[in-house]
Amino acid sequence: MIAQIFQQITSGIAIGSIYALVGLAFSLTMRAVNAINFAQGDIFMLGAYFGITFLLFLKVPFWLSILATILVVSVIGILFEKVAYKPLYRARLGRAEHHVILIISTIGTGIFLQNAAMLIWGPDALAFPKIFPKEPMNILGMLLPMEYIWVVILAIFFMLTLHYFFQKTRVGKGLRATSQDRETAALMGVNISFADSLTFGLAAAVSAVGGILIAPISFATPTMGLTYGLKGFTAAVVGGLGSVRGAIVGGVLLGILENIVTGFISSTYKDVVSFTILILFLLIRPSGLLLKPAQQKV
Amino acid sequence: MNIRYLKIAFVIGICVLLAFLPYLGINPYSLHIYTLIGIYIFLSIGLNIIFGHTGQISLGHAGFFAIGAYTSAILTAQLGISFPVAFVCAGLISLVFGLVVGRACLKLEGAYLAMATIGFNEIVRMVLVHWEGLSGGPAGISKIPNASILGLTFSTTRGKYYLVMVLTILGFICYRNLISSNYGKQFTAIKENALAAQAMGVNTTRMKIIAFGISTLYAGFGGSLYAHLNNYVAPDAFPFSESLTLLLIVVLGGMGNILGPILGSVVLIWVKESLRMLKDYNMLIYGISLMTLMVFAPKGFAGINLSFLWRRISGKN
Repeated sequence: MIAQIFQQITSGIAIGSIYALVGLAFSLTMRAVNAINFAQGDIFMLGAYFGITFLLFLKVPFWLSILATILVVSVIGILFEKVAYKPLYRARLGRAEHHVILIISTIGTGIFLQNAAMLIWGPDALAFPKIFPKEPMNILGMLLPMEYIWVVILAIFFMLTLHYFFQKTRVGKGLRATSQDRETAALMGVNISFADSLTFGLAAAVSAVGGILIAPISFATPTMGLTYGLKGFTAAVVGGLGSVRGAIVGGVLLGILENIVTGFISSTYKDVVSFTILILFLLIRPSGLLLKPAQQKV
Repeated sequence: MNIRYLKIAFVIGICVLLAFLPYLGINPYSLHIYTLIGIYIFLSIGLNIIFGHTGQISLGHAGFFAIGAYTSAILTAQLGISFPVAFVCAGLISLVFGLVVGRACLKLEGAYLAMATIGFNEIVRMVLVHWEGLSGGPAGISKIPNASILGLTFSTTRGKYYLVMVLTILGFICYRNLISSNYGKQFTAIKENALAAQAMGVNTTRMKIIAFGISTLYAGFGGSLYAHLNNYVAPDAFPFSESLTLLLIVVLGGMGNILGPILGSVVLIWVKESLRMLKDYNMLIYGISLMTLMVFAPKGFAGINLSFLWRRISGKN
């Protein structure tokens, strides 16, 4: 019994760190430009497919394929910003309309990416090659699947890198300044347009890491984006949308909860449980666990 | 005075055209598509009430569409209840769900409301896939009997066309009266500025829930018609992208424009059907055209601004 709970929790943390990465991507764009990218899940899907392409078809070593995937997908993310986001940001429209148009434009781009993937890689599920050692590690009589440990380690590594980038580098500081006050940052010499592109690029890179780390857990399918996008968004909302720490806490909590539901109740309704959590959180505590509730501005 | 007569003549002309359309040598498939357009007009009128007129986005309307379709299917195919009763029940059950979801979700705004309603849509779809005892699972419910009212059975393509057209016209008249009523004006006030509306004495929470309820009522009725048009329902017919299609119809036709649902449905369903011949590239082009449309014509066909378009293309701001 305890061994089973322990195993559910470990695999929950592994899948949760992937939700956390996607949630982080949502939080990045939310913080910087106050926009939600509805194609974030499809960018995650591209991460998985490019990962497979480099690993399986081009036989590139794992470390190099992670870097190549990040590079390719962040370029796609930047292109995405230039094509589907920026032209709309400039259009002078009412607030409500602006939201809707952004939603449709990003969903439209998501549909495009999904179907492009279907044409390139085919509609069937593709499996990743074995990347991580399969033998479970034995800790105090409990078996820990090594591949899950690797997923968590790599996720933490990339999150720390991102943290370092934001806290210590000049460009990262510029990005943080932009998200706090665009106009002042511009006056201080931050290139706002570059900052926006970079934000979308970084968000794409973070989701791409999530996509490639899904390897030991799931197959890649062209339509996986919607589910993982919603789960990532749920993770971000549970922790507090816009907060980096929140996305991580929310992702891990969601992953553990989902796995416990799967293990002890039923696997058919695990997605229903996650989406119910999303709706409940949006209703009861939309600011999430870690952020203070926001005041409505008049 | 003249314009009034012109309007009346125009409406009569359209009605005559609709009445004789099946006899103009149109093949059954096209007639089926026209019937489908009628159902989409029904559904998008619903979405236009909450989104176009009241300004609250919903990306979960395919969920209510599904609830209506399944209610009608279960009542007629499994319990043997007659069509008129099932039709009304489909609307009412969808309305009950709508009131519950609306009561809960309408506190949210913008993208958050969009995400919450997408979540609802996915929940409905998954319950339909997994609860096999109720919904027949992924295979759905087949052999839904044809609609019949007072002994008159609508079994042919032509018959179904007339049924849907008559109900759609009735639905449209109700919609038009609703929007020009006191309620419609309060809806618009909420869309323009919720805080100001509240200050003027509009009970915004109540009005938003009423608008959402009516909108889901329409979705439920549309669902029932859909079930009896195809005699078959399955969860695949109600994915999240269907909610997006409805949203697009409303945006293309012009948000809050009374004729918007008609214009939008005709154009969008026609475009979707014509893209079908592109086979694999169909959805690819659909996606890219959504994005382009939002960049160049963010206010729909009603709001295409040619000079703005030209400045965008020529790169001058």
